[in-house]
Amino acid sequence: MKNIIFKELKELTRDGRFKIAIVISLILLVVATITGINQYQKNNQQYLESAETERKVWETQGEKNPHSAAHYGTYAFKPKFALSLFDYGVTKYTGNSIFLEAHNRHEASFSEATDQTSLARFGTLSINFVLIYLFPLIIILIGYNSYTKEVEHKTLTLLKSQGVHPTKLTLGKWLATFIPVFLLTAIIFLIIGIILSSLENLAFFTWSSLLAIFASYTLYYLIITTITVLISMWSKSSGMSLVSCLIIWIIFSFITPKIATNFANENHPYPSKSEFSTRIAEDRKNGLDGHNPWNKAAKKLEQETLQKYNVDSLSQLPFNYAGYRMQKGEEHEAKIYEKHYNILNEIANNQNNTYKKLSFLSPFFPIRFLSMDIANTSDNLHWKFTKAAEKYRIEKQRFLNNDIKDNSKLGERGYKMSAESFKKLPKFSFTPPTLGEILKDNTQNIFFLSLWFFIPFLGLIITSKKI
Amino acid sequence: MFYNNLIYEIKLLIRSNWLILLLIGITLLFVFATFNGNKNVTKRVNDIAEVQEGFNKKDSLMLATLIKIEKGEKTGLPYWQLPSEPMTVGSRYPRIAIMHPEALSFLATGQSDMYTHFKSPTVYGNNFALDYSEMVNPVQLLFGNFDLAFVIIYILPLLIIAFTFNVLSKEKELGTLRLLGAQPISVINWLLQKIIIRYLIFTIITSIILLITIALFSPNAFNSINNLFGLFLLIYGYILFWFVISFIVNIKINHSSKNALSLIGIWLLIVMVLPATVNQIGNSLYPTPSRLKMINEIRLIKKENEKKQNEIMSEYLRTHPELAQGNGNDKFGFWHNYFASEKIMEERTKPLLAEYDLQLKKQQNLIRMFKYVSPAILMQQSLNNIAGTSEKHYNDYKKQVFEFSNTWRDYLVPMLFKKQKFKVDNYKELPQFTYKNRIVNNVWLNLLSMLILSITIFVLLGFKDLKRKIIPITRL
Repeated sequence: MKNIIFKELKELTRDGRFKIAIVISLILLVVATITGINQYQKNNQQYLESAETERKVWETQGEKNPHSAAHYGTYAFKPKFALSLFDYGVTKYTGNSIFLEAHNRHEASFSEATDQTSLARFGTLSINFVLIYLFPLIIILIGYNSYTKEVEHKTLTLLKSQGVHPTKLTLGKWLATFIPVFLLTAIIFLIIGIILSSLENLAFFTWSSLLAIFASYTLYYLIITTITVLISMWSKSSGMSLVSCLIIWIIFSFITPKIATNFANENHPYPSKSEFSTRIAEDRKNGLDGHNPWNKAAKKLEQETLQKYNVDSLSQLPFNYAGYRMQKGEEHEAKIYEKHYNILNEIANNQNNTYKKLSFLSPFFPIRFLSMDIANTSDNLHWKFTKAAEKYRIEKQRFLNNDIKDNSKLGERGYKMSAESFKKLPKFSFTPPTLGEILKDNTQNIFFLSLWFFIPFLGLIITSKKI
Repeated sequence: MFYNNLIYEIKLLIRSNWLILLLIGITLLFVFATFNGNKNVTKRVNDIAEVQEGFNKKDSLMLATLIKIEKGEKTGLPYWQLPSEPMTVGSRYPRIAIMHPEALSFLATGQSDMYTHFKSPTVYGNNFALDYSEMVNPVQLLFGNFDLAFVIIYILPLLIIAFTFNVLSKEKELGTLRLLGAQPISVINWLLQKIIIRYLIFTIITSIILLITIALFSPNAFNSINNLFGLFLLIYGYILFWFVISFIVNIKINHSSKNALSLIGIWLLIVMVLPATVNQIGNSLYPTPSRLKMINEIRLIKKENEKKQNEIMSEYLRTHPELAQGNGNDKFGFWHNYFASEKIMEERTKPLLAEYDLQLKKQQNLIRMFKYVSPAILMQQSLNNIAGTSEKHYNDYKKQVFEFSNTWRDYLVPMLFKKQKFKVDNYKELPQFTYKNRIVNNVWLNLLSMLILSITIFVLLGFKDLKRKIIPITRL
């Protein structure tokens, strides 16, 4: 078997097409890495600066009515994660900043894509772009004729007469197809790791995540290798084999994702923004309004509070009822938002599940989702970020409303919170999920990838005995 | 000779099942893509209809209230919700500015999946910086849509490659090339004729199927006959480009599997690698101005302005105008103050936003120049232009909404200062928004660029062989 692998690899080094493909891919990788690092550093710098400036703006706003401060609000910025350098995922399509103010939950605003021309829709050259689209092609290029050339040169019978075990022959050819790209990928990941660990101000970089992505891609390449060799075994000529492999590659990585988009959209349509906000407004109209003491729900709250503290009038309460009501109203509004955003999240999950369910049509889906999930550039992560920002917004509101409640008097109009107190609001921080959590979320993807490997591999072993 | 060749070619194609395969393939792709495109447009139309319905309901309520007020009847509304106040109309009853789809919008999703198609600018607040992004699952934006533009840009070239990659090499591999060499026509001329014949067959099939598909699924498109005509011309240009490439590869390489491999390589380069690389390098060289920085700057201005705004009115009322209490002249006073305080903020932030917008426009224009790098980019932008879904259209829509917001203000604010009431008559003459597609679609320019590119490649790479009229024996 060793001999087979060596012979195949030697032939490969003599193949000009292989060399050209490798050289082009490497050039693209270098361009992707340099521009990627450049952009990452700039964006990261911008993120750090913005977060700092915004905090400073908040802390130095001077003495102010807490509720005015709540409307003046603050921003939550999404950190740049180290591995976003490797896979941009959906970051281009999600905003990086969320405005946090009283009463209203805002969407992340200003996605990069809305500022770019339609050229951006062709995709962006990134390391992951080369690895996910081009490397499978190199595998196809290496393996498409692994069997057909023996048939065409009429050397297959010669090989058989030498008493090679057919399965060993297959495994040899299979490994010879896989090894070059595997080695190349290993080197690339090593270099990425070294580059990433030497960058300054890097957020959340772990070798284990990088290793996990490497393992995922290796599995993907194993799938492509197996399918390629299998097709080569089944095909009558090299030309047929090549065409079949290419068609499969195009279906996997171009056609199914787009068809899946239409499926997902058809079965689980997103509401339009105005529809979404109308539904929220509808719910809010009937609920507790922190500002409006004459509203029915507000009256009820007043009665309950008086009963609870066993007093006759609001002025006898041990705190400022206005702040208390404001906070209750805020909590109520937050719940409405939570309800509607959960519905939205559900739709998004259903859409993504549509993609994942179609994984049996193409192994491209599981690897695409897995890759961006581990790189922290998926929409899962974006949801986690928006939820964290919302949690912080509620916390911030409580902090400010409690100040009204505890430090001002009922009916006091000109009350102002001291300038120093604003500094006491904890800073917003967002920690991405751990690798373990991400992998657990992705069990289905990993399962599909494994299935995509095992079934063709089984086919490979069975076919090998028949040839 | 050409005639002989033509007859022979058609016979050959019919017997080899190629035509049937092509016919079925293109039909399925076009029908599915048109169907999808139509669904997207329908969703857009439905969303618009829903908003319009809500708007009409609200408006008829407002009108009923106005009539009641004019008759002197009780309305039961708090004073700050009364539509007889021009400012209440301006803020609570804004018009909707709708961007209706074009007749050919089904053709290319373009940027339409990212932006909203209706906006209601109010009488105050910064209408210059409204958020136009639509709610959408980012994964969908990442993977893109299976629309006609996708089929034309990505898949048609593949069909062309499959249709032409071995025109010459097959003769060689079958051993009939030497026979051909003995005919009274040069092999190159023979090949050129064959490629031209196949080009004609391919374009005719594509045109007929596309025409039938559109007629069946989107007959509306025929209302915009100019654009439809442009679409066909562009497709012919794009197909021509790929036939030229195939012709060159046929004479230069002349080996079936190597031909196929090279053509696939070129396809990959033109529809995938070049656009992605150009996009990445372009954005590295000319980055879009940072939105985060813009946010920071606006926040700083806002902070500075607060004091000034506070001088005009209490900070508390500024954020909650609905809580202003008062009667008679006080009410007007409140709105005056409110408007003045908002205006300060707007006047200060507007230059910053305008500056940002200008930078962005410059950057986008630079990036747009890259379309000449790859015919695929050129084609995508042309199709988006025809479909009315390019970023230019959305930028212009934003501009139109902003212009409209000024008209809206200019109508209502003077009423406030003149202490006029809003009446039923005023309702009838309220300014209305109609979106106008003001973007020149540049079909001819883009078509010309595509033709020039094809001819240049043909002349530079193929002309030498054509003049020599024989293929060097080494390549036979």
